[in-house]
Amino acid sequence: MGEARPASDGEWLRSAVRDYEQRLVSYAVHLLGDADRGRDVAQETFMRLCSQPREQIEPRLGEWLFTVCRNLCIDVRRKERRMNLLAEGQAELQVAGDAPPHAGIEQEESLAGVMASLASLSPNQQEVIRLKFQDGLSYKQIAEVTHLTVTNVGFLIHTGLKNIRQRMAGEAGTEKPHGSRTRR
Amino acid sequence: MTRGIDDIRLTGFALGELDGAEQVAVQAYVEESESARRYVQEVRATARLLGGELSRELAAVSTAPNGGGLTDAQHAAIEEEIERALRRQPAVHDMAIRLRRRNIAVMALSMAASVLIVFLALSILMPYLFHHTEVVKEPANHPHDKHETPYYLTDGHTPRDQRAPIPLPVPNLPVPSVADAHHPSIDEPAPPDDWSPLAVHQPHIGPDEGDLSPHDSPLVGVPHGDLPLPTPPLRLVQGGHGRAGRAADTQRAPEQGHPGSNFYSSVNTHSVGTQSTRPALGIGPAPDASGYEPFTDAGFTAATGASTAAFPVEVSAAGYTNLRRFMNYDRLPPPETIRIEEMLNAFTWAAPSPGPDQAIATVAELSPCPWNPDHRLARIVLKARELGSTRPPLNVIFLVDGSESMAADWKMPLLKKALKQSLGLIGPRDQVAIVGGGHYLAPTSGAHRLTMINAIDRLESGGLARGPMSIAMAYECAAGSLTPGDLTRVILVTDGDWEHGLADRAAAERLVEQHARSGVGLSILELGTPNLGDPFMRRLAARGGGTWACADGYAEIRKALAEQLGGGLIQVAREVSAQAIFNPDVVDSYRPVGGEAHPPVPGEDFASASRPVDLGAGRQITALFEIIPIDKHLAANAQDRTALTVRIRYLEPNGQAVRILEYPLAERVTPVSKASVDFRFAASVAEFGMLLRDSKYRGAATLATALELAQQARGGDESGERQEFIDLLRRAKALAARN
Repeated sequence: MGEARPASDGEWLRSAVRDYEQRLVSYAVHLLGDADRGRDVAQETFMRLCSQPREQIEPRLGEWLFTVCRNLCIDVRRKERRMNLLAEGQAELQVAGDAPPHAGIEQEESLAGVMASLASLSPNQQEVIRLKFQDGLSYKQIAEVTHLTVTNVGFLIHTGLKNIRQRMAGEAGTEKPHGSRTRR
Repeated sequence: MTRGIDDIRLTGFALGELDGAEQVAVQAYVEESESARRYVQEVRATARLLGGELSRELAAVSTAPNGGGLTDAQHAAIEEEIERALRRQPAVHDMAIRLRRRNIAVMALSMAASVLIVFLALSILMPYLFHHTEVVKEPANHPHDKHETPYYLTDGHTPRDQRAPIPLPVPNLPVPSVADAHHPSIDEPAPPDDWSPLAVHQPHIGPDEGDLSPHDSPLVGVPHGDLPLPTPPLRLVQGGHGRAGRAADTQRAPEQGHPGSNFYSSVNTHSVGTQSTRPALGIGPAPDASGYEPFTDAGFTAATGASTAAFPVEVSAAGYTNLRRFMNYDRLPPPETIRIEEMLNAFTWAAPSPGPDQAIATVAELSPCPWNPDHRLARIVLKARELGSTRPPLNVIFLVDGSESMAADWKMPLLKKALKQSLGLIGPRDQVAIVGGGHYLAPTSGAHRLTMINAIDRLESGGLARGPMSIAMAYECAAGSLTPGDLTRVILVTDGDWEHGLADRAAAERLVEQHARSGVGLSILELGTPNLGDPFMRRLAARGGGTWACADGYAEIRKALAEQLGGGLIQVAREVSAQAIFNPDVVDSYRPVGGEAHPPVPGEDFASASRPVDLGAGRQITALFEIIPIDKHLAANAQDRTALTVRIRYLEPNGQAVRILEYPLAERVTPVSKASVDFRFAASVAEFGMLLRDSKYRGAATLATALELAQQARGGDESGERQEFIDLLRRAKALAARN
C-alpha cells in the first residue's frame, strides 16, 4: 500500500466499479449476446477484483478487468458450445479477407450506418474496434486483453475501419489505392 | 506503398498508436504525400464517427431502466464482497500466498498419491479401497490465467464394482463444534483465494421470497382471540416430513367393492397387469405396485356426536409423485396407492402471508360440492410465515450421488438444471459447497454465481455411489465452514444407490445424528426410485434433523430444493395442530376428503387431537371436508351462520406461549362456477383421486367433470404444475377409453 495513495482500498474498488461498470457490462453483453449473462459475468469480474492485490492491478486496471471479463465470457460460451469468439491461434483465419457480405442493411452515411457497418464486421474485428473506440484501450492493451499480438490488433482495426469506410461510401469490395495489405 | 509504409501503419499513425522512430518516419511520409494525408484524415474521420456513436450507444444504454449496468442485487453483492475483502486485509495477500504454496504441496501430494494408487490397483487389484483425489485447477489470480475455475476434485479412476461395501470411517471423523468452526478442516483442496473462513456474514440481500400472489380472492378468515406477541425468534425444524408411498405403515381393512363401480374395475384390471418396461413419456423410474395395502376412505361423521375433526398438519406430496410415475408408464395407479390428501398437497395454493404477529395464515372457503350438489365442500389452507430477508445465512453442502444410475435423463440432467435455477434463492451471505458427482466445490460465497454454475455444470454420474466416503467429505466440508448463526445443512441428493455403499447403516445413522447435534443437519432429496419411500433414507433424514422428499421430475426437484434453500428448514411454529369444528346447527355430518379424520378422544385436550408437528417457513397444508348440511336448500340467512371454525394451536419457536387462532367460516351460497380458482382446482384433484380410488364417495364425478373443473381453474400456473395435472387427467381418460 503506497503512502501517496489518494483513496482507500474500498474507495478504489468502488470507483473501479463506477468507472467500468457500463463499459464492462456492454462488453460482456456484446460478447455473449445475452444481457443477463453479460451482467453476471461483469459482476463476477468485479467480485474477483476484490480479492486481488491492489498494487499489482491498479496500474493496469482496465486491461485486467477486460481480460478477466473476456475469459469469463469465453468460459460461458465454451460451455454453451458457441465458439464464435476469437480464440488464441485462430487470429490468422479470422482476420483474413474483408467483412462478410452485408445482409440487407442500408448503406447511408449516418450514425446508424456506422453501427450497421460495425455490426457487419467479423466478431473479432468488432471486439477490437469496440475496445479501441468505446473503451479507449490502446493497441497494446487490446493485445493484452485479447491475447493477440500488437501487429494483429493493428491489422484487425485497420481492416475493420477500412470495411466500415467502404460500406459507408458504397465502395465495398474495392481496394484503396494506398499501399498494399500485408499481414503482420 | 512508399518507404515501406503501408496502410496499416498509416492507420496506426492516424490513431496515435505509433511511437519513436516509427512515428517520426510516418509523420515525415504523411507530410510529403497528399494521398497519405487524405488517408489519415479519412481514418480519423471514421474513428471520430465510430467513437462518437459507440459513446452514444453506451450513454443510451445507461439511461435504460436498469441503467444498462448491473442490477441492484448485483451491486449489493459486490458491495458485500468489497466489505468482506476489506475485513480480510491485510491478511488477504499473505493468505493467498499461503494458499498457493499449499496448492503446490497438495498437487505434489496428489501426484504421489496417484502413483501409489496406481501401484496398489495393479498389484492388489482392489481399486475400491482408496479414494484418489486430484486437484484439477487452482484459482487464477492473474488475468492471463484463462477460464478461471474453482477447485475441483475428480474421482480419479473409479472402480466399477458399485456394490462393494466400504466401511464407514466413523472413527476418523471428528464431529465439528461451533467453537472450532473458524478452522477449515479440509486441507485438500485449498479453498479459492476469494473464499475465506474469516469471512463475516452480512445482512441478507438476496432475493426475497415475498408474499404469494393469490390467483383469486379466497375467503380469508379473521382470527379471534390471539394474543399479540413479538415476532418470535427462529428455530430449526426437527424431524422429517412426508410419508410417501406408505406401503404398509398402517393396517387397514380392504374397502368393500362399490357396486356402482364401472370406471376403475374395468380399467385397472387391464392396465395394472400390463407392466410396461419403458415409460410412455420416457421419464421416471418404473412404478412398483407391490407393498401397498388397501385402506378404507374415511366416512361421514355426525356433527352432533363429534363436532371437532383434527386434520393432519404434516402431509407430504409424494403420493402425487407416485401417481405420476404410474401414469408415465401408461398405467393407472392401483387404488391402494392413491392418497388424495397427498395429491392436494402437491400443488401450490394462493395464500396470504400471516400478519406480523402470527406464524400461520389461513384461507378457508365453502361452496357446493362439485360431485354432489346437495353437499358442501370446505377447503382449508394453512400457510406458515415466510422468512424472506429475515432468513439466516445458509451454509449448504450438496452431497450429490454420482453413481452410474444417476445418468438417466430424468436424474442428473434435471438435477443440474434445477440446481442452477435454485441459485436464485442463494444470497451473498450464503455459502454453497458441492461434494460428489465427480467434483468438489469448496464452500463458496453465494455471490459467486458463475463459480457455482460452473461447478454444477461439471457434475457427472458414472462412478461409485461411495456413501460413507462422500458423506465424510460433506461433513468435513461443513465443519470447515460452520458459522454460529448460520443454518448449516448437508443436502443429499440420491436415487437410492448412495446407500448401497454403506456397510453399516446403524453407524451412518449415529454419524448423522452426531453431526446434527453439533449443528450440521442432513436433508435428503430422493430422486424417485422403485423403492419410493425407503424407510432407511427417511429415518436418516429424521436423525439428521432435516427433511426427506422424493421427486421424479424437474418441478418436484425444484420445489424440494426451494424448500431447502428458501427457509423451509427454519421453524416458525412448534407443535402445530389444526381442527375443523363443525356447527351442528348447520352441519349434519362431514368427512375429510383424503386421509382419515381423527376426532379427539373425549376427555383429552386439544393438543392430543392430532399429532402436533413443527412447521417450517412457507410450508402449506391443504385439507378438504365434504359436508352434508342439515338444510340442503340453503336458508336465506345462510351467510350469517357459521358452518365451521378452523382452529389452529401452536407454540412460538422459542418459548412455551400457546397461541390459538380461530377462523370462523360462514356458509356461503356461491355456485361452484363462481368459487375461487383454487377451490375448483382442488375439487378436480379430489375427484381424480376418488375416481382412481374407486371411492364410493365419488358421487357424480367423472374424469370428464374433473377435467372440465381443472381446465377452467388453471389460473396463472407459472410453474406449469396445473397443466401437468390436466395432461395426466387427459391421459387417464385415454387409458380408460382404451380399456
